Amino acid sequence: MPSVTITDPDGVSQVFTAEDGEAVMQVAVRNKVEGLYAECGGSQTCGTCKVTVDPDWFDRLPPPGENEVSLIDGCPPNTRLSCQIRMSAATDGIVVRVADSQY
Amino acid sequence: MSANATVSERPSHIPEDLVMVYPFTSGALTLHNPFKKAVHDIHKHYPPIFYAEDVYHGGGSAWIIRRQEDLKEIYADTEHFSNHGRSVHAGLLGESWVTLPSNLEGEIHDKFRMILNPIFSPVALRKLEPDVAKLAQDLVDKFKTKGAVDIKAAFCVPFPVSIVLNLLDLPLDRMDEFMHWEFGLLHDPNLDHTREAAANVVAMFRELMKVRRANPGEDLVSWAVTAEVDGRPWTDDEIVGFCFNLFIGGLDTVTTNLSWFLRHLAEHPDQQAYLRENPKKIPDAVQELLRLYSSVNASKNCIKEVTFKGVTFMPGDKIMTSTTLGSNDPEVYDHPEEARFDRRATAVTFGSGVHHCLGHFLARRELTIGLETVLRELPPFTLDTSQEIVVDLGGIMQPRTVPIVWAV
Ligand code: HEM
Repeated sequence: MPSVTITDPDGVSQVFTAEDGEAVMQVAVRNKVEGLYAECGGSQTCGTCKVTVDPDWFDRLPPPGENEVSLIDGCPPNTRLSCQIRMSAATDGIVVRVADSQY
Repeated sequence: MSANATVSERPSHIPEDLVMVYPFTSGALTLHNPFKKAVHDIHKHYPPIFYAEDVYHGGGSAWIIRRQEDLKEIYADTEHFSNHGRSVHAGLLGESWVTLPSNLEGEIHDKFRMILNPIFSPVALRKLEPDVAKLAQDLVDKFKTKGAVDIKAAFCVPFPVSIVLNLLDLPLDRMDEFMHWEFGLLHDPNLDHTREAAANVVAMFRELMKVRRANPGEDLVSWAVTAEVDGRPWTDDEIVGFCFNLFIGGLDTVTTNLSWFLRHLAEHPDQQAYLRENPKKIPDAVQELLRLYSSVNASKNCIKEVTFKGVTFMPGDKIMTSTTLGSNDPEVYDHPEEARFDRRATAVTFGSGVHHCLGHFLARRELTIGLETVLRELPPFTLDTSQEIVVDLGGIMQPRTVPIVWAV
């Protein structure tokens, strides 16, 4: 099973194992990671599951779609919606940090 | 207490044992704070899904979903549940525009949302922040030396109205007119007044479209008259539907939450003092108070038969999406009735799924700046307990007044 390292806004890092195909957002919600609210549940309307992706990993992700872009436009570099990052062999070991503020 | 209760006929698929008396019906009033006990009593004593009769003004029943997990599933299930058919105000006028994006579904909804999201993003709103802070300051300046005020009437109502006027680039002297229309649309029990208010609001927006087309500025209507969807300009009806959505979605909701939050701080001097000493914690407090005082109880229509957690919903059934109950689910939160500013928990205050509130970033800024301003400008305040506070239940749970006092 692929794993993901998530750092919360207080700087606490934890490694979680994920199901294949699960979104990083779901992993974070399941494990009650602080500071990530995921209010819309993955519909790409709320923009409250933002993370910054480790630069080594950022370029390896498929680019964001139009919906996602409409919510992360203007955010700090390497920001993605964690509901759009799928766990798989290709993302095994990915490192993300919960955005300092979702708002 | 409940006014105008009428009994509608119960469809045959509703099991007798799931029909419950629901205290939070439109038109019902209470002198208690429902978030202290009544909301939590429903969680203690009612089944996860139950049927309540005559919950809407003038009759109309609904399924009520109590658990947050179930509510989120319903918000996500666009195959069986829809927002279509909720544009009551257009119906009253005999017009066919649709409140947008709230009452659109499917691809066209998502297209509009994609265009609208950047307009209401944190980055876009940062520009607005100094204006919002100034509007808050000016309102508080008017009463801060008085020692006593109904802060709902003096601040919680005019503050979001002034922000919408600002977004539309209309002068603040239209405030009274706007507040009168808002009352007519959302709170006046007389349907003729509601129709009249809707007609006035729509006429104002149609006029504004003409003005901004001729002479565009930086405001939302100027933006909308030049915006495109699907490679074509928006129709006039689409612009009216969008403006109308701001009017009914962005005023009363903020007023309600601000009213509850200030009442809460007036009744909890320890937490008020904590925020005065730690203003950086105000956003966390806003997050938690938004959860506890989740007040919006909208609905969806079932469009296709489905058995959900053992209960069968038929097309035409109304499902109340009670954010009040969902955000106070004891299976999700330890002691949901307590405001714990360090909880930093998620909630369903702004709904979930594709219709999750477009204005939530703006609302959060207004609430944060609202609290910052009041706590900075007023000395410690308490609730004036010599006055009775009437609370409206139903679609939006809201205190009618928030009388506070402080030493001058
Ligand atoms: C604390 C304040 C607010 C609360 C609690 C709130 C709550 C909600 C909720 C629960 C929904 C979903 C309704 C449904 O189930 O259909 C919603 C949708 C919406 N809200 Fe808000 N709202 C607030 C402030 C605002 C503001 C300030 C605006 C104005 C910009 C706004 C604009 C909208 C719009 C346009 C929608 C429809 C979104 C869509 O269907 O895609 N709201 N809001």
